[in-house]
Amino acid sequence: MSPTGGEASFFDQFIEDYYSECDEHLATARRVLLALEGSAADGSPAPPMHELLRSLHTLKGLSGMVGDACAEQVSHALEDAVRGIELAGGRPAPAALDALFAGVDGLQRCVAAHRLGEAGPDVDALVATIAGLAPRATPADARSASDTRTVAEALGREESTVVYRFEFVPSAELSGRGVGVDAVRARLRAVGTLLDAKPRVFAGGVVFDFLVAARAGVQPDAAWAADGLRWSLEGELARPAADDAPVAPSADAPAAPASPPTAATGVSGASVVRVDLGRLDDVMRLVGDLVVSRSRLEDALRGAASADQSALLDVLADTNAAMERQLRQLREGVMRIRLVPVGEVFERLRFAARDAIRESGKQVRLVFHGQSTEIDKVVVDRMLEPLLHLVRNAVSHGIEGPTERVARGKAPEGTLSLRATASGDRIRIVVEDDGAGIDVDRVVQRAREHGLALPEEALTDEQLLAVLCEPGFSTRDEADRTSGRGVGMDVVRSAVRALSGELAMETVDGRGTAFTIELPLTLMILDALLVDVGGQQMAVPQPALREIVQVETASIVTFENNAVVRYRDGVLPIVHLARLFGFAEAPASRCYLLVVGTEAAPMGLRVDRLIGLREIVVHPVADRLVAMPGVAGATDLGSGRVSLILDTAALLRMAEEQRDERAAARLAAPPSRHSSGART
Amino acid sequence: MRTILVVDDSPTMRRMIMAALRELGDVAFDQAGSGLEAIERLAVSPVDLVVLDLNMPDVHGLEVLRFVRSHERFRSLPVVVLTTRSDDQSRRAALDEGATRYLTKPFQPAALAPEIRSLLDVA
Amino acid sequence: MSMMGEGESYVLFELAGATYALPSRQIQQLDMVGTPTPVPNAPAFVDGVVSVRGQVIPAVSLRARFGFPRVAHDVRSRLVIVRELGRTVGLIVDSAREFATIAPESIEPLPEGIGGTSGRYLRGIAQQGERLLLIVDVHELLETSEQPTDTVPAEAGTLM
Repeated sequence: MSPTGGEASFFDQFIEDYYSECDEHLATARRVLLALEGSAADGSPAPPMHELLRSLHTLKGLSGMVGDACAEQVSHALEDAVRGIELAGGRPAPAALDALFAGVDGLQRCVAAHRLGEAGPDVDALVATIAGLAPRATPADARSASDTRTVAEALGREESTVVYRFEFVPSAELSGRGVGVDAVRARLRAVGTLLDAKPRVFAGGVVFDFLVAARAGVQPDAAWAADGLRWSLEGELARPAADDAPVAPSADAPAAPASPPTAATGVSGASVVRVDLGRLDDVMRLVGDLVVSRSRLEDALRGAASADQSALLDVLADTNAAMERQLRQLREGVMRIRLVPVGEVFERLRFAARDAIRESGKQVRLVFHGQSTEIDKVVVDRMLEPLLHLVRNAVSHGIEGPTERVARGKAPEGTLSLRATASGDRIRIVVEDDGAGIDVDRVVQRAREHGLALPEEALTDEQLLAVLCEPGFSTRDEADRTSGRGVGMDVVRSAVRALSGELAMETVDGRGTAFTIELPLTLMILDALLVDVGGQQMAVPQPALREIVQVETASIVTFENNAVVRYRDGVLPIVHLARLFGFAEAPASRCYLLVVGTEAAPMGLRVDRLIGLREIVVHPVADRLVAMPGVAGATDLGSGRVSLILDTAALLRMAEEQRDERAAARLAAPPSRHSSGART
Repeated sequence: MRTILVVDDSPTMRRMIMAALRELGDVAFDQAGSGLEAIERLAVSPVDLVVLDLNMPDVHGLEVLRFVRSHERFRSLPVVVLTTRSDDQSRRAALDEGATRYLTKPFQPAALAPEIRSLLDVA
Repeated sequence: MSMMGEGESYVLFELAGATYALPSRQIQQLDMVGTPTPVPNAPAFVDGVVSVRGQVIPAVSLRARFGFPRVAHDVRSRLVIVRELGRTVGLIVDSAREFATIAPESIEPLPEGIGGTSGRYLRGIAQQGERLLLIVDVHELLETSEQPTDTVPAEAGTLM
């Protein structure tokens, strides 16, 4: 059934919701099918089908409503097939499983086509294949599509011996506070396995009974009594003998392995952070404020029909503004939960430093400053190795032995300090030693041995750092310690850059060396402008944007490999992003320039199309296979696809370097260095 | 002001239903995404009509209906079952459990409100 | 071949007609391939990045890595997500739906003839019934010295 004209516009307002729900249900379907496939391979119990059935059923209903006939047909066929499989025992044959995978894939393509406004793929053959899998299931009787488990199943999977009975009496007051039956159910699931959940009529009202098999050592929180919960110990359960669990090895394959990975189940290697209770309370308060705002909104909407329009608009506008503010604060509150004091990293470094110090036979004093400075947990995790390297370096190469130090008029004990400071949304960590400074001659010699080209005159600190950070450039001592695995300065620099940070160095012969790492405070969420670059969707952080300009491509002037366009009173140099990244170029009469950089030295990034502003969650792209200059991270935009986030600072650097190189080539003379042309 | 409780596990579907029923005028909406939540909403605040999906994650819609009808207070509460199953057997089963009306999805947005209106007037 | 309890668990995957094996303990999960987002200037065998469990990881075409011609992904294609020394990487294979137990003593070194590109990434060979299983060395697979560094190569496309 396809919507008529008037209906089509009715559904327009829901179309994003539809796509977003489709994504969720498709992900569920994929997950269950992969788990089915895994269990078929290793003989473990098959996953229950009801979640998959519900997802397919919902997809069918929604697709029918918005008129996505192709998706409706496929999901209908899949639902019937899975229902038949469930009735037959829930273990499909490989051919059937293949057909189900093909079905979900087809469903995905239908939704994707609908999203792009294209005709859906021809699914007749696919539907026929799936329909042939199981006989059309007769309409199911009304039965509980329950996701509770039997006691035996719970025991088979969890380590629980204690079963609690919970009673929850709902009320308007509790609901207003956000304590509804669903919230209670989620809370109980966190305690253990939900064995049963039922409503019961009681004294003119309703009470919900829950049976929970608690995880070992977990107990209900006494505070829950204030949320309408009562509980009692239902009993202890005896665990069955260990060899009761049936495993049926097939004749030719070896016996089922101990713990093969099941597809996408279970919790990933937990990333755990200790949370300050005060911060959690702050966040809870904000949530409470939001609930109140929402109630205001609801009241206002209830009064919508009778209220006079302008008064209503005022209330709505106020409430909207309040909610926006509260959501922002909530977001920041949650981010603050991720912050840990950098002192944690420092302490871990202390142990490693002690080893290095002992081995070196030198006397070194470790000093920390700013341990309470806070930093995102992710940043902490990623910076441990690089900082460790800097510390070891300082001990092995930077600081001299006691005799040598005394000969130089220094105290026999050297000092290695780690200092963390925060300013605005950046954090700065300085690793400084009072040793001999970088042995420039040795570095230069080593560089020449490696075949690196160096300018004739003395190297600046920046250039020195760049040389040190050449991959594979490590002194022999480092290679020994790290068994030649190349944990050199290049790893430090890439780790810092992968976090959108900057690395700098200062060294004074005979006095010491200081490495400065600057990092953003938190990476998780930022406002970004989504753009189309050569057919690829990319995100540009909004704080980096000075201005957006639309230009006729014809007005871009190119000379000697530089492109510029008239801008304000002068010209704006342009970086052609599609070309830089090697994406397809579609000729167009117009394009957009994202102006970045500084007032004094702006630059325009050329993109094909503007898509829109979005608040995005940032994921680091850290693996060395994909950590490329110019890419600051990636974001999941909700259709299973990933969009890369541009590192405008890196792009500016790259542009300047290339420009400098070309200038150097042209002039055939040593290039002049200016402070903004940082090589690091 | 009448209150309609919309029960469906799909948030998008709930929004569609509410949008389609908005033309009824003087109505407010309550929502539930699961069987237990539907029962809770009925227990804690006044509801004049329920639009009930059958396919829910925890308790099947008909069991919700059965539980609701067993309560004196809700014996005559209008419950409109809105489901994808269009066969006679399912319709019969729902009406036997006490459904006031049995409508199928997909529904035409313009046709939903008229079906409901008469039930609200009577109540 | 192997005695129960004496072997290690492996996931088997198919690639260009041959069967390979990877230790289960190095595998985080199996997933569908989806559509990797290309990353500019990444090595040719890296199809791009994908998002898995909230983490953005590289998706490596094992066909390309082993020097086989690429084929279009189909419903059987899988992303084998491996973890090694703190790195998480997805490997795109033709299919992956079997497990096997292989005892360490039944893994034999590679015969003389297998060298070159694929040989470098294999730890050994095990016989299972009629089948030859090629045991993959995950570390070698992920390790490469010919990857682009983070200094800007002059040929990285013109900026202007």
